[in-house]
Amino acid sequence: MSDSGTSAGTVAEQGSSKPGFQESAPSIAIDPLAPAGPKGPVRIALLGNPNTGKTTLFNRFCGLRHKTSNFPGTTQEARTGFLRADLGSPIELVDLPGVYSLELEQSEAEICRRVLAGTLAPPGRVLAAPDAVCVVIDSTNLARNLLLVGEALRRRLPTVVALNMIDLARRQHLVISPPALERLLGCEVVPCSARSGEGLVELGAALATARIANFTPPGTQEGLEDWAMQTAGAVQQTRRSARSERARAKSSGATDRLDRLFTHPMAGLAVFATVMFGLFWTIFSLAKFPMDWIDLLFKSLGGWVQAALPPGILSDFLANGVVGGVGATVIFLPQICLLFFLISLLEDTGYLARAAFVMDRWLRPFGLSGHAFVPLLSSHACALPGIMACRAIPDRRDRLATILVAPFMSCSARIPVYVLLTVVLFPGSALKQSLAFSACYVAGIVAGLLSALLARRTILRGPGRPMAMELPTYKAPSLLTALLTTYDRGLLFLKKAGTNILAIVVVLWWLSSYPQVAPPPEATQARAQAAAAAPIEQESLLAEAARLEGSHALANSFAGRIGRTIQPVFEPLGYDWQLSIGVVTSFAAREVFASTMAVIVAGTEETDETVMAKISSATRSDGVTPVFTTATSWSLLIYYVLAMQCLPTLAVTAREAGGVRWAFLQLAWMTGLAYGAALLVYQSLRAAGVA
Amino acid sequence: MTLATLPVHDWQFWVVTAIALVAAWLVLRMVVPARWWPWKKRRAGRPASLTIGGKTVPRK
Repeated sequence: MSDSGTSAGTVAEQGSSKPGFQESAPSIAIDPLAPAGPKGPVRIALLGNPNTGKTTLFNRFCGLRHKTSNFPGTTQEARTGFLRADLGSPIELVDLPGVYSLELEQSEAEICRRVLAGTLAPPGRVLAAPDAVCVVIDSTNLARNLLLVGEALRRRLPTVVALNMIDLARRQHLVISPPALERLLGCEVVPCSARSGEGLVELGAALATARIANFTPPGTQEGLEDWAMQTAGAVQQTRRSARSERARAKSSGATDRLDRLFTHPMAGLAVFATVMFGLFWTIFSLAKFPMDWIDLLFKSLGGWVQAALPPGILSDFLANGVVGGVGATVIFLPQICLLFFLISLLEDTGYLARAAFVMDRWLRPFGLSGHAFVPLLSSHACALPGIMACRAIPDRRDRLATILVAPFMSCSARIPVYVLLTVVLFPGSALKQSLAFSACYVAGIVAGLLSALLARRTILRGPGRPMAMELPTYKAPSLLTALLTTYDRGLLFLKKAGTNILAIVVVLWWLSSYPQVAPPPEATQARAQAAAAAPIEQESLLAEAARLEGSHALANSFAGRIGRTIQPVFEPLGYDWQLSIGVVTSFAAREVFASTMAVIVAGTEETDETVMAKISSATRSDGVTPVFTTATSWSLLIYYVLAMQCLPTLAVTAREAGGVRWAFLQLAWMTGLAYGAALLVYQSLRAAGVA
Repeated sequence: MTLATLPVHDWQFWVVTAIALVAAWLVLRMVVPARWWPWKKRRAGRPASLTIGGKTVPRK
């Protein structure tokens, strides 16, 4: 759970079930870390069906930026934040995961039930029922949402109903009477739109005066369903002119037609593949320019550092170690930002839910249920939230299988490696690069599915469960949400580059710079020849001497010795000692590979080339053979698609799967598979004569 | 390898070595889980999003 905003509050008083609100309308001051007032925080739980905008409302009230999307089940855990009213008492909002019913046997429903019953509280808080419940309902789907309202009212807690997406209902010519609904429910009903901000001040005021409803809905499921239908029918009417009716029918027809296409077993898959390829092609085409700019910026920065400082160890350390190493990772920022921006836009349209529906048919033969789609999709950003999202999978075997294969999905940490290698393999061709890039994603998915099949046929044998998912309405994507997501992910990446990657780069620079050794006889000889040679030959002889010295120094450095020690393990895959070091150092985090290459292979020679060009054209110790031959690059690419090179993922797997043995199994299987596949690719290409 | 192969008389060497040692410490912290550090006091239970009476929510 994100604990944003929770640390500053104090423990609420036990049994303070009566809200300490005054009746004056509060002006909502956004302060996510507001300290607790003298009365302690008042706890309000946000409850609602999936995809009704609870998190959007939560973010609006608390000024936070938790992930929201037009996809059911985005929130998997309860989160807390502070809404502060001008009453001296801060209000603690608890954003509960979306549930269709409180009575379901799902972990999300259990969390909701326990929070409402007061047997579950955020860490550091005293166990107590919330002071009020805000049931967020979708105005465009009143009857179904009222079922949950009925279940909430049965809890006899002060309740406010937020009639969210009221703007969308208006656009659909649905007229809902909040006063009528209020009379029938016996609690306050506030029409609002969390997306546009409409009605939120009124909702804040209503929360401050929440009261226990003077009505209890029927206790049986059938009775509740009848009541919900009747209530919805009584307060909602459709006012449509003949013209608007035609427009609605046309719009509905368009939605149906789109759904028929997007959820078609074959056409849907073709659309999905086209959308994904278009996404990657756009990323490669657009990211090229900012990448070049960043590359040049870091090169200029390195040059400036060298010019500003006198020649020596510090100058070399800062220019080649710190600036060069960090720059080699930061260069991939445009790709990461573009990927998250486009995925966020796509999510917001409601298309991804259709994609999940299509993928359900394809996941089932591999022993995974459609529930696995969301965790697997999330894993394309990062395996950690993907594995945590597996909590929503009701079946244990399904859940374990999904946890085990989630890291096969290509996460954003792999992007720098994919970009580096696809650029090396296909220089100057955005089309081929994007095809290879897409192929990496596909290869990861295929490996994950086959691994899931193997797991379900062996260690996790058993029947699967069917999947039911609501298809959200199509919406225009929110540019702001996409920009905020992009900003957050970009910042996270930069933070990582500025901390973990910087630390690794610094250590690598030291290891590759010491101990210092005497130059080789060939270099001394070349320098002697240069002194006696004509000016035209002098330059090339001196360059050759510098190359020999650099190569000799690197090969005899601590890094060189370590690399040569581990090289026999990776030699069958075509990796020299420099690549072997890159693979080993990136075990902590995959993106370190690019920085390692920048420090090890590109940091030794002073040329006018950019970091990417230096890495691409780097040679092995003999000075002739490229580090990245075609066969080696393909072998590396396959290795990084399949290998488990992420320590935090192993830790989360152990926690979520309920044992370290699952993490070890994941590590052994993925690394073994990666090694075998890379070996097969390299040896096959070599046998086929591909250098 | 002897000390002579390291530029021990250059103060800049000691500066970068100190920085590298700090970085190595950070890398070690990143690679080795906190609970494996011998001086880390192990907390009862495991981290949880929500707790019941200080204990994690059992998952079904």
